[in-house]
Amino acid sequence: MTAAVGTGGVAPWVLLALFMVPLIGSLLVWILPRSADDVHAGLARNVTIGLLAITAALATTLWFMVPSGTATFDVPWIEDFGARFQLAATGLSLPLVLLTAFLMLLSVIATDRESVTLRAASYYAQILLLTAGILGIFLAADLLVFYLCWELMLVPLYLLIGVWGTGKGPAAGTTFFIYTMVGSLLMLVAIVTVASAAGGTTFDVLREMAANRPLPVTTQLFCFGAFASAFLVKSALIPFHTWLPDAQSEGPPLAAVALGIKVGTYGLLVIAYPLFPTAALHPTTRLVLATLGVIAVLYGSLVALAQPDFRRVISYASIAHLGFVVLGISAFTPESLNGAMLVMLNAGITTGGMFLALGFLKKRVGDDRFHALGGLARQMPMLGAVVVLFALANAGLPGTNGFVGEFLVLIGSFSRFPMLVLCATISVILAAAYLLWSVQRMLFGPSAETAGNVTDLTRSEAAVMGCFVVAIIGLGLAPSPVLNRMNESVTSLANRVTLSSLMTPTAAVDAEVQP
Amino acid sequence: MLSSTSASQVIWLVPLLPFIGFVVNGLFSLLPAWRGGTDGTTPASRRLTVSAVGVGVMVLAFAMSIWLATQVAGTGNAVTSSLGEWIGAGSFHVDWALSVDQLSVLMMLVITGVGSLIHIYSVGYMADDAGFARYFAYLNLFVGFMLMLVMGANLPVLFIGWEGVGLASYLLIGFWFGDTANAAAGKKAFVVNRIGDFGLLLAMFIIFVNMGTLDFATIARDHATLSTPLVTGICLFMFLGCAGKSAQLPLYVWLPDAMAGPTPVSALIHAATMVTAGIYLIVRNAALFSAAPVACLVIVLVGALTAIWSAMVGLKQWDIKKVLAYSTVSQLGYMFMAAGAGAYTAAMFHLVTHAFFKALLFLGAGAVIHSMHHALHATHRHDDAQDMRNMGGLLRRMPVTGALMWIATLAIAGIPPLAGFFSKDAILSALAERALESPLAEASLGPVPGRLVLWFAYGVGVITAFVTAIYMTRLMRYAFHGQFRSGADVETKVHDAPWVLRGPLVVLGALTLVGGWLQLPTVLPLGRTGALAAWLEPITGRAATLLTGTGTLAHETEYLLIGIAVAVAIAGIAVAFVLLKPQALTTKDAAPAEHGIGLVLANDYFVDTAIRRGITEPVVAVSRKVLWRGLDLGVINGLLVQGSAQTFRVISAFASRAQVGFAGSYVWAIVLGTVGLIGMFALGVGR
Repeated sequence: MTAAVGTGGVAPWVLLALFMVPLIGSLLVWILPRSADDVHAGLARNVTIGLLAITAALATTLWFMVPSGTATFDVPWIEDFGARFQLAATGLSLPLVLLTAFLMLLSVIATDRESVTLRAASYYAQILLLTAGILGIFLAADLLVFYLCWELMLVPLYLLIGVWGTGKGPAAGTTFFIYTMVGSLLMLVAIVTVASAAGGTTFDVLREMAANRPLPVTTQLFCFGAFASAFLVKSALIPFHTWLPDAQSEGPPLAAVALGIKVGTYGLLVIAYPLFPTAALHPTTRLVLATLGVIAVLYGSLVALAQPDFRRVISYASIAHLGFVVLGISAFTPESLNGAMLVMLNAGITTGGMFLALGFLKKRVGDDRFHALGGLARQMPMLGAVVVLFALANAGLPGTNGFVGEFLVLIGSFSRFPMLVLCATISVILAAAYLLWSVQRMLFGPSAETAGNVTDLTRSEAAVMGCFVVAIIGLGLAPSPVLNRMNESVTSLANRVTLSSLMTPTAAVDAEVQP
Repeated sequence: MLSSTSASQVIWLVPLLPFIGFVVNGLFSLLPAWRGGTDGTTPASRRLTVSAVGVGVMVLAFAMSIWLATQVAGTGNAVTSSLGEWIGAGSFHVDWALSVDQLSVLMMLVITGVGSLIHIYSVGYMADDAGFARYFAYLNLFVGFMLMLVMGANLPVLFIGWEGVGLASYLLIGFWFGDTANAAAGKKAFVVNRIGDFGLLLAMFIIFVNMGTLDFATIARDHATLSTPLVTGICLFMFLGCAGKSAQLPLYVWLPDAMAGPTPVSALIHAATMVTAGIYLIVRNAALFSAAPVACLVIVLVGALTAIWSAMVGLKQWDIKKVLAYSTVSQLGYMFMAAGAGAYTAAMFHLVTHAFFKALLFLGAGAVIHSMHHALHATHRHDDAQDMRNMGGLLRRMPVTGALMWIATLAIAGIPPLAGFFSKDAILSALAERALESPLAEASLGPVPGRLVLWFAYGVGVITAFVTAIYMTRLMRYAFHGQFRSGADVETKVHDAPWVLRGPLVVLGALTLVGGWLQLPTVLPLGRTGALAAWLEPITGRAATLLTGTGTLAHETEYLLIGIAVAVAIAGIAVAFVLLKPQALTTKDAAPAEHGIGLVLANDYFVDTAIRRGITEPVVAVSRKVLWRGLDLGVINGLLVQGSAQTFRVISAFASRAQVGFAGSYVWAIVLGTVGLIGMFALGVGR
């Protein structure tokens, strides 16, 4: 074993364990005894909950263990490519790691044993694999590791939607797969290009190249475009967004929750920007991205108005949230970047909570389209209360987490794109309209006939919802612990990218243009 | 100094108390174990606990507000407190900071004082309601947010309160959510308010980008560095926010619908407190507004137009609450005329007196509705308990309520020496004074000179006073005089309100009688003159002088203005007595259809229909038909996705198996590749 595994102490090993526990755990669950009866399904579920609880505990440990700066796990890997197995926890990744670990844990707790009867062991194995994939994306400090995890996330999601979804699940899964696959292939081409130029795939090596031996502008633009396409397709940026509502409403609630974790925009900020600073900060790139972001905000909000069920409304709302993230990243001020990071985190929480809540409802009523619902606040006051709170957080009500992120994005982007911010701000009106209209059709008015004897949340369901409520109010009133953690990493990333973009030798540009 | 320190430690308790009430009563309504009754009603013992919590926190908050007022009066300085950073990123920093100064403590006294009375009243009014605990939870929640709004030391903390009161209002308007119309009214209120919030957000963005802060104190101190067009822009965006929250043209449309909520809610939120938040915001930022004369003239103009626009509608309403709702919109217009003209004291004065007499009117109307509802219910009738055509002669059955409502009616009409007379006169005199000579008169609104705008506002103010006297007298005559129109069996069941309802009415009646003494004009020295102006001097004094002329009105002019105001009020009452014929009225069900101008006014100029047909429905239709069905499902999914999927199928059919095989085999390729790479990693570690 090489001595140089990381920055010393136990933190690197915690980092490794965080990735390995769900990864190896998925194999473990996969080989658990299988049969059609509930006992084994229950066993698989309990083991999964246990493993995810360990993962969440490890993530929490890491949060407190790395109060500032980064922890790195680093061993040599494929030396011919200059690839190292490198994981790192930074102020950018830690909040999202914590989010992922807890979201997956709560989602499994919220999935009751009876609801998965088909190949239960396999179902839970996919969940663990998915968790490992998402955690790996956030923790990767090597482009090859990142790419592997990116693909690793794809497979279980495809299967979860296709096999354990509704009747339309397979179609939705395939669409999802094709979309993201096309993006991945583009990304692979860019990875090969940049890795061969830099002579390695670790972020350190790549950043060193970006800072000192920048790629020619056209190459940068091509690679940035390829990465950005992959990331933004995966994030469902308009016009590559239609797979998301299908996937989120035809798949199981858990898949919808996982799709709410914004891995794409994380990749955009942490990989595409630092590696191709000149292309990323090119005024045209910024304007194009910011405009796409604002279009996503408005388009997502408008289409959300027209949706026939609440889950699709939330999908389109999350497309609008993505627009805020893209706007914040392209404006590239410290405030807007912090805001973008926070929106990613918040969207995961509120979207996740909402999909689980709607899953609880779906379980009780067969048809959860709006025209079949009404007056549910009478029978289900607790579910009603949390749905209203999640809707308000989604709409960015101050005092909830949703406000802080959106506000920082908008106020931070205003100096650079005042007119675009003005347009994006219109979404506060639209968001209130589509969310409260949805709430009204589901919870208020006369009771629907079909909803005669639905019961309110059970104790364990209420406990899961309680965790989301605490997170939403907590981050709304006191976002500082998270913001302080992000701020340092965001500022250093912003400074590095800005400096590198300035240091691009014009000679390289000329050489590209003149021969 | 010592007392000031202890004051700053406890100011957080003031908003915290109602929030605690919200949590406790919220749990009472939500948790099955705490809910008590299983049959949908609230048992008396539980009701007692809920009321004790709900009213208790209010009375405590009121007592603390009084104590804080003495602290502020004693030192003359604001009591401030910061709990450290709320949001911090890059160069943006906002603290959890409260500040209690002369202006906020005045608002706090109104909110907690009138609020306490309305909470007590609610104990009786809502006694039979299944959602008793939920009601008090929401009402406490409202007060908590309203206190944050007026106590916040910076714009984002104010904004928590600002949107929070909107939330509480949404919940309370739709309190009886079983009826879709009520829920829809709540949603409408929230969405229309958000149009205003859009403006307030943009104002914040511009201020922060140009000044690097959102603290009120810093903005007031340093705004001179901003150019006039910039300040004008900020003020206009901010005023958009005010127009939403305080129901001014064209954003007033939510307020009449808001009457769907329980009547004490209308009294507290939609008359006395929340809807005045826009006035508060302008007065709070008086320094900024006084530096933007064009914005000020816009505000004066919008206020004037709103005042007359909705007063006219009030003439043709039959629902007793709707009359009061349009009246509130109209009176808020007066307050904006004053605030726009830089008469900040007059605006705040009218805000306070209006809180007294309008709360009294609403609570009185509530007592009438309560009684009518019970009487109709007891006789198994399903008539509208709020329609004045179904009433008549109620003064005989409800003498206390009727007498108190007459006091409030005379007050709002502007009859001396009631509170409304003094505050309305203060506004009209201020408008005339500034029209005669002031920097504002010299400024111009586009091609229109400021002087003209101010005279127009004064004229509209006088005419509106006349209309106000008519519609209020109309309300009183139709409801309380003449014959009872819903049948003798119902009439005998109508009784005056129980004491828990009447008590708050009496207190508000007393305040309506003496409220004018807060700010006596110099020409009527019936006590200490100008007390409120002196109290607010540290906050608005400097800003007011920027918009005011050097001279004051001659005493003869002031007497003339007072004479005109009183004359139109008396004329309005007289006209209502001469022209209206209550004996010709029939009940709502038998009433003939309106036509002509009456139809237009009864339907609020069909503004709602126009908005629905012109904005709401087209937006939803375009979203559904063009964007979703057309672009998303049609072009993107149908053409591009399905098209490429077909292409893939054709290719993969050639390559190997068809359809699922494509994605399926890829999955396995990835799985194998992953395993292989993990294997390599293992080898790498071993080396």
